[in-house]
Amino acid sequence: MTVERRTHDMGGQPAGPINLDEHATEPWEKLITAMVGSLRGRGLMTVDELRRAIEDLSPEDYEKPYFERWSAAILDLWQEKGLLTRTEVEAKMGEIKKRLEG
Amino acid sequence: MATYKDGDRVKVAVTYPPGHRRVPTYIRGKTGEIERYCGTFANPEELAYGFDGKPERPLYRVRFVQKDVWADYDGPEGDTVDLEIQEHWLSPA
Repeated sequence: MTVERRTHDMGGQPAGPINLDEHATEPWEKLITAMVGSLRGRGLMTVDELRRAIEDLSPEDYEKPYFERWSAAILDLWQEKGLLTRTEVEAKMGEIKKRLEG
Repeated sequence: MATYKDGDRVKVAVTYPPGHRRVPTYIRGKTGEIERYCGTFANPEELAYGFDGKPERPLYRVRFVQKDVWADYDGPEGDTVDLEIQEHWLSPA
């Protein structure tokens, strides 16, 4: 039987050395962490759901940096739970971008 | 509540259901030993989809000999790896 091993299930796969360098945390990454705490605190999301949504990202998206994976997964969960649609979030992002540029 | 006791030999199920599963592919089908019983916990494979994960299921720390897990393992003979696995993935070995 051929097993369809999913992208995140990487135990035992060939891999290079781990980069142990410290790196600065961007303000938006802290914001995402706070948002996850808030969503969990309000019972709108569990860590298990977040983990599942991250695992469900496309292999291309799964390669993205840690907090980008988080934000993509949260967006999928909002859509799934009917909290906010991707269109609504993108519209707001566009609005903010315009404000910052203007 | 716990079916297995410390030292019992158990085999991890060889099954590949879709969705969020808490047992990595590399350990499925391997045989290990119950290192300890960790208590009962809601099933994260259900929590992952917004369900309550009840009833809670027994969770064990299972110890595997590295040489049993990896065909080409070249580390020391006695090396082990521990995984925490819920009872529904285990059967007596």
